[in-house]
Amino acid sequence: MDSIFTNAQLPVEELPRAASVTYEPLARAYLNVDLLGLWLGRLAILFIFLVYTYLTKDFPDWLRWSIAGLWGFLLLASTVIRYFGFKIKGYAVRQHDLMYRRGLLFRTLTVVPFSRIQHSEVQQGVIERQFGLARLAVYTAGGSQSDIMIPGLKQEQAEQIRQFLSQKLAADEEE
Amino acid sequence: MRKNEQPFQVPQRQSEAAIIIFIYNFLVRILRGAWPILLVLLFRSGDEQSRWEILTNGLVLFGGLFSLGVSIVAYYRYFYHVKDEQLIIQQGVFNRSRTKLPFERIQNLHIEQNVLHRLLSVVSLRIESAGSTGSEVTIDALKRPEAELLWDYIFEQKEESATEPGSEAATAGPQPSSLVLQLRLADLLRVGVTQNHLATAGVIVGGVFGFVFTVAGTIGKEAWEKISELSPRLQPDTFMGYVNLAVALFVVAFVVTLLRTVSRYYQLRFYEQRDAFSLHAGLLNRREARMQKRKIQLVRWADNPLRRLLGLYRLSIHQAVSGRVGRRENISIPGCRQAQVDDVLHSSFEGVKGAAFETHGISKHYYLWFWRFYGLLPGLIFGGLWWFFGEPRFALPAFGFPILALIYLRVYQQRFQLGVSAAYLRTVRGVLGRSYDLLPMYKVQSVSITQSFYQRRRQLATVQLFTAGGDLAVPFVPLRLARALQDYVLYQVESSQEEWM
Repeated sequence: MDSIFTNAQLPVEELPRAASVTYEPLARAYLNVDLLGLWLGRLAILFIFLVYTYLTKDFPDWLRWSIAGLWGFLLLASTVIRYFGFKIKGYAVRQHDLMYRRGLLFRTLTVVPFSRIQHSEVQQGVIERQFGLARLAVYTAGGSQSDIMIPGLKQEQAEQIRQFLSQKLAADEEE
Repeated sequence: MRKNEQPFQVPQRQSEAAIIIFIYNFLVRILRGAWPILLVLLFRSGDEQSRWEILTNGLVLFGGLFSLGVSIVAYYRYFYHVKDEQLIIQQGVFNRSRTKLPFERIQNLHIEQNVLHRLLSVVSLRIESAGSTGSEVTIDALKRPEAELLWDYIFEQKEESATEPGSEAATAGPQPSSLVLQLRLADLLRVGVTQNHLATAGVIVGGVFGFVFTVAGTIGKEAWEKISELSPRLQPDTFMGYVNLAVALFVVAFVVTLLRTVSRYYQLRFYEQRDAFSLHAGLLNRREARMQKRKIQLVRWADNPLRRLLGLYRLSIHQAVSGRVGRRENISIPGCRQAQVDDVLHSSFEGVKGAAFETHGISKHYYLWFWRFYGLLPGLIFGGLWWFFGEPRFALPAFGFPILALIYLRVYQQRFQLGVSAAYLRTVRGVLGRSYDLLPMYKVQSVSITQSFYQRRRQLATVQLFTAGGDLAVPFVPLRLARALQDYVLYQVESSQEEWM
């Protein structure tokens, strides 16, 4: 393979490759958590909509059911996308950075070097708690798009990674 | 200033003029929030007031006087002082608060003066700091010498703690500054003429609509219809009427932008010191800003067709301010020539002078993909409307959107250029004008590669580089290049010993 950047200070071929990493998958239970959250949220909105239209006088029947049908279709579509998207989601902790990959249709790989982390925290929602799962949020100074949020980690595991990150940060500052 | 002479050790108040400024701020706030109510009160002043109205007016008046009292007390309870390399501000009437700003976290200082400040010959000092809470503090009214003393003091202390003791500490004291750019009146007019007048026209239209809605909502529909009957010119019914209205709008927009430019950038002076830039400008409201070179994350300079004729750029310097808030501070300087842009680049970024940029273009799939959304889709929608309603006026957008979008996207794709040097990234983009972005790789906070299903089939990818001063996106490059870029930037970030902030 020929060199891509001719004037780089070192041969790019010899750099560690982000693309050749094997990703750690998320906990299997996270798929259930994700789908459960999706269905509960969407069905609640559908329910409120239906109650509202029945209370409104003369709300046309065809409009109510076509909106509800469209909503149901979108819900099924999201379910399928999340189901297959689950396998794509994965993270990797390298020597100097944290990577997270997601997205079925639009696949995104975000890499945050440890030295650029502002702070990190472990978060847990109501449903996640029932399954013993947690999510790890890593914030940088680059705005919300540059942050990483890894869901579907076992709670101890999320804590472990967060501990590791803060130890790294402390070690870097001492240098 | 000698080192043993330490000012601001004792808590002190602002200048007495602060009372007037507090009252002024208070009145402005009232007027902004309640002008429709005041308008109604004016309109109805002839009518006999009902008891209910007297009660509400009384309440409003009482509320007003009460807040006035609060703002006066607020002055007497506002103290600032310096202790242990921290700026400490104590304030509050009911709940007392104490804000500590460590010097090392202070990013920027701004000295600002509005008309009232100038009449009272005081200045307001705005202090920005990095951090998630209390990222901005304003000391509203200081005498100029005091503000400058504080300003110099903070910067000196910052530098002393930043440089190693003994090495460069001898150079303390005000740094010599050289003038990079100054706008004379002729330059200012040139800058004003080449501003984006269409944007101003948009703001004017938005502002007028907002005003109309609020007024119509407050004084009632009938009264409003009476008023609008008096100005039939604003509701044209012929084609020429619309043309006249558009011309009038453009003339107003032109004059407004010109006046705004002159008032904003009057007597603009842009200085360079050893490790900072400073900017002074303004006719009625004067402001002075200072930014440290090492906090600069990204520099952008752009022209438009008019500016290009005159060889002018608008230069903006982006730096990191309080990452979590997402509000990014930048200094923006219109009317720079190429030489001044180069000056700023060379002195902000070491080694950018003489850096060789290797350039890469983007794939033609960029326009093929986006044309579907910005060309084909609107075209189909308007075509559908045309067919459905049989109205020929939909024909123009039905054909116009696809054609214009095709031309625009194609030109954008052909002109987009990514430049990679050993330590810097640069992009050039734009259709009517050109916009240049330059950033040192080690300032990058995170890198992401995105591939849509369309890009995956064609081995293409979009790279986004996030810095604390703004993002840089490189769309539709070959996957191999995207990955190499990601790996290389990450290597630069992770091996760099330099502080990004």
